[in-house]
Order: sequence, then structure tokens, then C-alpha cells
Amino acid sequence: MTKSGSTKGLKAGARKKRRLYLMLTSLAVLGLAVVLVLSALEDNIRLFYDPTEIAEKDIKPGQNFRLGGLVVDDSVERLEDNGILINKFDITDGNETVSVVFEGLLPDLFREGQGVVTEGALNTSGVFVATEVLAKHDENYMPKEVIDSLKKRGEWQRSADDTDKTPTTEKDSRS
Amino acid sequence: MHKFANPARFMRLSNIILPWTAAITVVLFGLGLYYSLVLAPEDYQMGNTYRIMFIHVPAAYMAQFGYAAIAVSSAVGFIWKHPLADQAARATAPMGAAFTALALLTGSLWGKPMWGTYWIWDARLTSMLILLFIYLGYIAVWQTIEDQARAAKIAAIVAMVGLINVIIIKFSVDWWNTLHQPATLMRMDGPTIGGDMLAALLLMIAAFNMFFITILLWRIQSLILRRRIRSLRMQIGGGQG
Amino acid sequence: MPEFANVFANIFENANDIYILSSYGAGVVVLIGLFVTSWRTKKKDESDLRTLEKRLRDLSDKQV
Repeated sequence: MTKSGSTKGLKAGARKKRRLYLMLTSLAVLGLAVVLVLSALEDNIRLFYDPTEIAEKDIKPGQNFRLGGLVVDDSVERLEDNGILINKFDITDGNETVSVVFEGLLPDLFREGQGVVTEGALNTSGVFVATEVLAKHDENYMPKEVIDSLKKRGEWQRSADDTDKTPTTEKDSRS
Repeated sequence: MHKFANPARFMRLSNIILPWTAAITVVLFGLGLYYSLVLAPEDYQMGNTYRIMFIHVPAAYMAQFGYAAIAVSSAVGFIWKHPLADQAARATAPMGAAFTALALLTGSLWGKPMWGTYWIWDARLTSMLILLFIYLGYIAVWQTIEDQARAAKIAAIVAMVGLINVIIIKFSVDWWNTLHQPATLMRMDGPTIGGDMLAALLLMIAAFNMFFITILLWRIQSLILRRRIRSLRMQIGGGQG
Repeated sequence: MPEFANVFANIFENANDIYILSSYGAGVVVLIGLFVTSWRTKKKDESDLRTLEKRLRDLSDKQV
């Protein structure tokens, strides 16, 4: 460090260049190492499995994992059993479908056609018993009025239309 | 390049710029808040709750912008041995850490009503938490190593290694499945938000950015003053001894 | 949940407003915190430097 003050000109320039190359190569090596580690850990970093993977993996009943996908349109049912609220719905990835039961309150954004991540385990009859249901929200933001006018003109194709029937969207009206 | 690294010149220039950046910050915050809370309409799915994004997104953006700034000025300091570059990197770190914490907190407050949980260990949230720890580690290096030249060197290495995490944060939502949604603003096919919502978001990001610059200039000035104080103390001490 | 929201209807228009308000509150706290600490440190450093410069001038006056 103190050497750089005494030597000037070409030598200092060469040292700067050496530092630059040293830094770039070590960053490249480190980056490669991180890529290797992350790809090795891929299975652990993923948050959830989709229904197709569940079907392929042949998971034993009772084994805890997260299941994610879209809620199938018109699949949501609410059952009251001795004052206990039970939600039934199907989750799909467009390929396979898994039935889910969940006892408790669903999050605000839970809607048919919307992405969800659930945690729980399969029971012996292949139904996923969820202990937790989380709603994903997508990256799209749109004014409510725009959607309303699109709906009025019948141009709104998304499943959001159907969700008006589901009990969970009662919350919309209050906001 | 060395001309700009002259601390005396920096003090003079920054004193000229500062009133302007401060004034622009105030104006941008006024406009940004008006857009965020009044003009921007309710979201079709999230109602009013989506307005948290006008704090959350700029904070998360500044957290990563701050880190990129630290990495760049650290590299400049490391290769060309500019003391001012090291000081700039050092002055940025506490702000970056504060914005990271704010992004985590507001994200949590947004996650509870919308997702149904304050926290989940998905790739985006976890890598953001790691960013906070890297910031704290970086600050700790500066504070625990007495020799400033050595501290600058080690801090620069920490900063550049940690840069990989910022890349992971950005692409975490594309590489792995996460609860956090993909990017809204910085995407190949253009933003998936528009009108007054987009205006509010951009105004708030600009406001945070100008705030960042204003405070950073003060902080660098402070560090330059402290260097001068240290050398004066040594002169006085030497004179007496 | 809607019943719960009705309870708070008089205080907040919407049960989620508490999350919005806390987020903006946290934002204000962080911004003001950064502003005040940075400003104070700068002012303190400036006055420290002034007193030191004065001391140095006094010292050199004595030596002359």
C-alpha cells in the first residue's frame, strides 16, 4: 500500500492493471462457484411443487410439502361442519389437478383462477389436506374502474368475472 | 479523474449542488405522495392495499441501487486507490441497510393481508434478508478495522463478493418458483402497470433517489471532514510531543 | 372476515388500512431518521473541525 506512493509511472500502471485482472478473475470464479451451488440446491430453493410433479414423484401420504398452482374455476366449495368452516377446491397447473381441503380463513386474494401456495400433506385417498393457504398475486396492476367498464362491455375474459360468485370476494365490495 | 477525487473540490461542488437536490427531493415527495394516495386509482384485485408498493418498491430499488453504488465505488477505490471512492462507498452503506430493512418491513406488511403471511422463506425474501446481513457485515468491517487503508481494502472485497447476491435478488423470481410475484417495472415487454399508478410509482422512485443523493452528499462531506479532523489531531499531538 | 371489517368501519374505511398506514409510517420514520442523523453528524463534524483549526492557530501563534 505504501509502496504505490514511492514507485510511479509504468510500474504503478501495471499494478493497477494487475489488481483489475485479479478482481475480475476472482469474481468470475466466485460467480461460477455460486452458480454451481445454486443449481445443486435447486430442489431446496424452490418454494413449492406443482400438481404434475406431485403425480410424477409419487409422494407418500402424510409427508409434508408445499403445493402450488392455480385454483380451478368453479371448484371452490364452502362446507360448514358443526360451526367449523371447511374450504374445498382444486389446484391445477394446466396438466394435472389435485383436490385440496383446508380448514380456516382464506387470504384476501384467494380467488378462482388465481395462484395459491398451500402447505400440508396428501391423505390416503390422494386429497391434499392443507394446514396453510397463501395467495400469490401477479405482477399486473390495473384500476378497478377499467376492469368494471371492460366487464360491462363484456370484454373482460379472465376468470375474475367468475369469482364474483365465490364467497371470498365479498371483501372486494368493502374496499 | 483525479480532479474529481480531490476532497476540497468535492466539498465546493457538493455545497453548490446540495440546495438543489434537497429542493427537488421535497417537490418530488410532495407530488409522489399526492399521486400515490389521491390520484392513483384502486387496484382491481388489491383495492387500496396495493398502495404499499409506493413505499415498498422504491425502498427495495434503493436497497439494490445503493449496493450497486457501493460495489462500483469499491472497485474504483480498490483498483485506482481513490480515497474519495472508498469514503463514498462507506457513506452509502448505512442508507442501503436502512432501505433494505424498510423494504423487508413494508413487504411483510403487504404480505400479511394479501398473501396471508408476514414472512415466507422463498428465494426473493431470503435473498433480500441476506442483503441486509451483507450490508451489516460491510458496516462492521469499517467499524472494527482501525487501519483505514486496510479496512477500505477488505470492505471492497466484501462489497464485490456480495454483488452476486444482488443479481440473485433480481432474478430469484424468474429462476425459482416463489410466492413473490415477478417484476412489474423492469421487464423485457414493458411494465405491467400504467396511468397514474405508474406515474405515482416513478415519482416515488425519483423522490427516494434524490433523497438518497442529498443524504449521501452530506455523509461523504462528513467523512471528509472527519479525515481532516484526524490529521489535524495528529498535527496537534505531534506539535505537543 | 367481513364482519370483522365492519367493526373497524368507523375507524378505518377498510381493515387493511392499518397495514397501509404502518407502511407509510415506517417509510417516514426511515427517511426522517436518515435525514436527522446525517445532518447532525455533519454539523458536529463541522464544529469539531472549527475548534481544532482554532486550537492549531493558537498553538502556532505561541510557537512564533
